Amino acid sequence: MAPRHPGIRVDRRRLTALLGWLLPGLALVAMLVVALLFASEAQAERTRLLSAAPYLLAGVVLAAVGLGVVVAARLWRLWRERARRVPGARLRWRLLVALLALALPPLILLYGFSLRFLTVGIDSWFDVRVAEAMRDARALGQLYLADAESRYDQQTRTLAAELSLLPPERRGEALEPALDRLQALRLSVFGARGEVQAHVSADVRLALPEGPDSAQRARLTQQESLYEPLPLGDGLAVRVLGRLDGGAVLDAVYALPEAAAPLTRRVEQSLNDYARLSYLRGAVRSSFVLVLTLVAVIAALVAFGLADALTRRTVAPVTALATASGEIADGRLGAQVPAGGDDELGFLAEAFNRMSRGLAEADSRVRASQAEVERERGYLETVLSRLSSGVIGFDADGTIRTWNAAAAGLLGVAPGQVIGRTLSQLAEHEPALADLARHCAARAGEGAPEWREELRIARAQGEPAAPLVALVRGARLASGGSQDPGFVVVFDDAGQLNQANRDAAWSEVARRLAHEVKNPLTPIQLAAERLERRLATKLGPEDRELLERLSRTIVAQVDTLKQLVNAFGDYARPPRLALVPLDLNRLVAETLDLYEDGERVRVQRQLAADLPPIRADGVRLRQLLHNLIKNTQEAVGDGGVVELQVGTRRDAEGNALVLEFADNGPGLPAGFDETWFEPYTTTKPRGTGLGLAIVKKVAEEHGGSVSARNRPDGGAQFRIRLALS
Amino acid sequence: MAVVAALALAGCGEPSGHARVLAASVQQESTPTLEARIDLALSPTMLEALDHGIPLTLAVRLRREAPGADLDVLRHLELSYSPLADRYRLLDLDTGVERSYAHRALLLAAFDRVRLPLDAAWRSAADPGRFRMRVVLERERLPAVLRLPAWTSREWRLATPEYAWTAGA
Repeated sequence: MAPRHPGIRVDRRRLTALLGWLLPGLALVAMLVVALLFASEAQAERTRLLSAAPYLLAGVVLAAVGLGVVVAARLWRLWRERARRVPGARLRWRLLVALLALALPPLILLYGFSLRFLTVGIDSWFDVRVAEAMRDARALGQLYLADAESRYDQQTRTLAAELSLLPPERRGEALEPALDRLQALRLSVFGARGEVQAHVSADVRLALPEGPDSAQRARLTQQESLYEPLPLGDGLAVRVLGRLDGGAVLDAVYALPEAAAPLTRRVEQSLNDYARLSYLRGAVRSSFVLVLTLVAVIAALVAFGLADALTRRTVAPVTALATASGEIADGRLGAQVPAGGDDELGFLAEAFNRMSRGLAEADSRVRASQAEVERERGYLETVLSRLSSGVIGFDADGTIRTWNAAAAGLLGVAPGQVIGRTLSQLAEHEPALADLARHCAARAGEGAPEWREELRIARAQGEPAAPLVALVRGARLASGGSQDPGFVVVFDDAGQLNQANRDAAWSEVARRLAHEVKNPLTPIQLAAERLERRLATKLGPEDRELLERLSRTIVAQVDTLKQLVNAFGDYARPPRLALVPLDLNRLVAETLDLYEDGERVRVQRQLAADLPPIRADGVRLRQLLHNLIKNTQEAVGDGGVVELQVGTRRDAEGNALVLEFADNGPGLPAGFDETWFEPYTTTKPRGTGLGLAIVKKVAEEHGGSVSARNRPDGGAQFRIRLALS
Repeated sequence: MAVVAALALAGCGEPSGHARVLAASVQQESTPTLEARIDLALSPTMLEALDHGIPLTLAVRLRREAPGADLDVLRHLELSYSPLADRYRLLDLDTGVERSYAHRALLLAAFDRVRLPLDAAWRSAADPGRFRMRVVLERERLPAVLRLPAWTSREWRLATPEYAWTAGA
């Protein structure tokens, strides 16, 4: 693309519009000029236009046709815009038609009457009386000429007689003085064969001798002389031919008397003009009609041009307003129209622009508020979805507006099933939640600003199916006005809360045990060993054996205590996980390989292929597996064969990996529940009771959970869920 | 456009009159003189216009082509009618010399022997050279209102073939 120079940028639209007006305008002016020229010179005999006239006329016709095409094109375009309902087109069409209806009839009327007057006017030039007068004038002029000719005839005869007496070669000498004496314009003598014998002239127009023609010679044989008027310049002269002896002829030309010459000249001119005009009557009329038609066409075109310009100028602000209104109606606020003049349309445009700007600003504010509300809503939904507490929001008439993920999880009902339903509808469609619905309706009806109580709520579906003991807190929402905004209910699983409290307590116990109990154990062990060494040599065999047995017992029990304390230490250790992507199947396989020997430990593996890597702490997961295997070994006993079924898979939702660990032990004790995952809960006489507690803790550290159940064919099965993200 | 085309076509017919040069020569007398015999036949429309006082102008164009010595001359002869004298006139517009005739036939017959004095430059016409001559009706000199009809009507056109001769060879 060629670079544009800022100094010579051309607005093509403006240039096109300018040419669109300039060219027709120039054509109109040219037509007007030509029409005026034709009009001014229609009667002239010789004009400056001369050879250019036909070409000018052809040019004018072409210009008129071109302008007619332009007018037709503009009308057609306007008609199509009107049909397409382009803004402003109908109003423009109506105005244009009205203006043309105002302008054209008078023009046509004027044209018709002008034609009529023109015809009548030209015909009046040739009135019968004028024609008679011209004929009379001609007759009168010819009578006068005849009278003058008779006078010149006499003196010519006299001169002819004188010349007849002279020999031909001397006649020339006599002509010079005769020319002055008779005040003739030309004197010539022609011989019998027409040869010039003598010739003198006082007028350059008569410089050449002009002999008599054969008819004149024939007449001269019958009479002595003959005379005739002779056109000379723009006037007349008298020519007399006199017969000489020997067949010679005297040719004499005389000017008319000074007083009569201009009169005869004017009569001659008038007769000429009248004859010419009479002959040109039709052509003159056609010329005038042509000029008149040309002017009428120009006037019609000018009327159309002015009407078109006027309608454009008048309708333009209305069109702009209509277009801008359409844009606003389509949602494109802020549309502006060009500022108008200081009339009502200008005021309207200014008011419209103010209104449009106001709408745009208001819309901008509304959009900003909506965006803010959306941000707040998103924030609130994120917070609500991350809350472990169930949150249910109601509006004033009890319609459920909010139902967060925790509420769905705790109550077993998805938000889509309840949002938009009233409390009564909730009770009807979810009978398990009827108590909750009735409770909320009752508390809301009481009008209390806040309430708090513990409810036993049946779960709608899902697992676990045990009733939910919930701590429910309700509060009426704050209102910015008189309208009741509704209320919100927040509830927690009281069992989970209690469990969390117990977990925290056990962690504290374990921490204290690790800190307070572990420290004295080593001095006790060292003291027992030192006591044995000091006294063993000083005691008798029987006492020494007793001492050694008691010392060993002390040391062994201290070791046992150390193990117990270490185990509590592991349990109480704050989670400092080193999370890395790892392959769960590989970790499980490596751990099982440590125990599987085909004799005392047999493993049946069902590891799903194509498991995604999981971000986890490998050491902690191995500890989880060690604890489960050790728990099984202890349950089976020293002489038994441990048979394990270990499987991995991805859960149905695809957001967690599931490790299933089944054994051939005696199974879970009767009344096994969540408390069995608390520390120091065991059926084994030598167990620390921390194995399953640590399993549960590791699972929870990885965003998961642990559950256990008895297998139908014996043994227990533990299911550990580990979150993928 | 159609109007212009129609007008142009209307003027393209066969001419109704003619002005043929039958013989011509440049005579070296006291002044060089063009002497020519012209067969002039005007159309009825032209004759009617002449009788009604419309002057008709004939242009006599003479050209001599010789190596390094080309010559051109254009002379105008006006035919007119004088109603008061009831005579026809033949006026040399360039010299002012005029003659009159009692009848129109005599006026036309006068073209049988036309003598037009030339300027001194034409003395060299005695040298070998090629001459071309043509007589045309000057429609541009007609009255303005007749000009358009004359432009478009065959009645106002003359067949004017060029006459050429070689002299001095």
